Amino acid sequence: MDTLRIFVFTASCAVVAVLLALPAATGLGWLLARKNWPGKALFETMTTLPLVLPPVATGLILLDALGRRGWIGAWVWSCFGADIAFTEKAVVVAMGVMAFPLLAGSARAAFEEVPRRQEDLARTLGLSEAQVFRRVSLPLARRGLLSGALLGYARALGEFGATITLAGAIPGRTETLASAIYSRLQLGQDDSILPLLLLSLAAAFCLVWVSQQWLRPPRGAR
Amino acid sequence: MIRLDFEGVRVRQGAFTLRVDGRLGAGTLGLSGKSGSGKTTFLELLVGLRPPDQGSVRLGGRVLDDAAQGLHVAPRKRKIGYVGQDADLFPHLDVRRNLLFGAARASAGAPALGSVVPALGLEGLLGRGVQGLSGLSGGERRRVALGRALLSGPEFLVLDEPFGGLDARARSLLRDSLKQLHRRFRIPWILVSHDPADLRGLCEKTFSIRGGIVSGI
Repeated sequence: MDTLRIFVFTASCAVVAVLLALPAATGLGWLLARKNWPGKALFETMTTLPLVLPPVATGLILLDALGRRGWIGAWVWSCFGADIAFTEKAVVVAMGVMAFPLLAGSARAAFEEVPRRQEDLARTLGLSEAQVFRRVSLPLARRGLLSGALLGYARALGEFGATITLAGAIPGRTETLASAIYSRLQLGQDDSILPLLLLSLAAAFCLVWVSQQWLRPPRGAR
Repeated sequence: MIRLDFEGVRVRQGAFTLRVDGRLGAGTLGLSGKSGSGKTTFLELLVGLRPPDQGSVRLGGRVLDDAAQGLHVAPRKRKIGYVGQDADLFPHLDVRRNLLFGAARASAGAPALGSVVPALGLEGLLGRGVQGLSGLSGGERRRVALGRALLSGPEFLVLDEPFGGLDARARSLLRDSLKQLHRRFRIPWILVSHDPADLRGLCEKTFSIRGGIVSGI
């Protein structure tokens, strides 16, 4: 029962994290694919950082900003009297931040695949830039966006370093699949690890399977 | 009737420069030129996808581009229908939705689906779903693209090598469709073709581009 509760909590937090990060990642992916601006390379590097930084380091940076004495955490505390660090919100934030580079990278690749001619044609047919995005770019990039969302979700589901640093692994509150496996390993509770491991494996397998098989462009498609 | 005025227009693209000066005026215009001569750049200039680096372009009395004033009318506001060489149809939409793609923004008095479909012989294609798009022949794709451009209510059409890669029968069908369109809707066009017979048969006047310089206008 505890295993199922941990899985549902982790899966729900990952859904919320991806849903919150997806619009911004999609927008950023489109900007990176279609626009040039001064400092674009720097911006690109910064958004990729969570992918290459040790996750614990990312967690520490987040803790510094979102802890009660951090510049965001202190503001949230003074306005709403609520903590972010070591709560469920921290789990969502850590997952979202760690999934963001994957989401934005996939979105960028998906928009780069959309033929510019199709967007130009839509412009000559009377569509505004927002309409071109909604009626041409977005539908044509949807496979790549969905595939990226699934991979980002898988990344969020397995997140450990940033989550444990920012949210801890408080049983019944912020304990996720990865942190539960780690805690049980430390406590020598080998019997309770197996169901968690199997659930993690099954979830990861399904996500990668769907992403690679169902969302792959049809053979011969551009 | 198209009346286009070009004043000192220069469009630079790397080492290549397109130069256009003068006036184009006719109901149907034909454009010829070798590959790489600047035809596509010229057409992109017309439809607003490539603003000029210098000079101005006017359609009728309306200024479309004026580099000195920093004025550039966006493609969506130009009312110039474009049918490209590849007749790109939107692959996520069925034939009907492709046809109606720009129709919602067309002004009153623009051709309606009910009159465009028979004029282009598209009755048999309307029921084709998204999957059916890949089964369309080159000629059918171009007629759908032509109908889509027409339904957006353009003042004139830009047809970039519409006969390229078509067999004799498809060419003949498309030629007939164009003549039918002109008779029915009096829609002016600029048609690009390598084939002098196409230009003679479908255009009142012709002009050409060589090495980026537009002549005959």
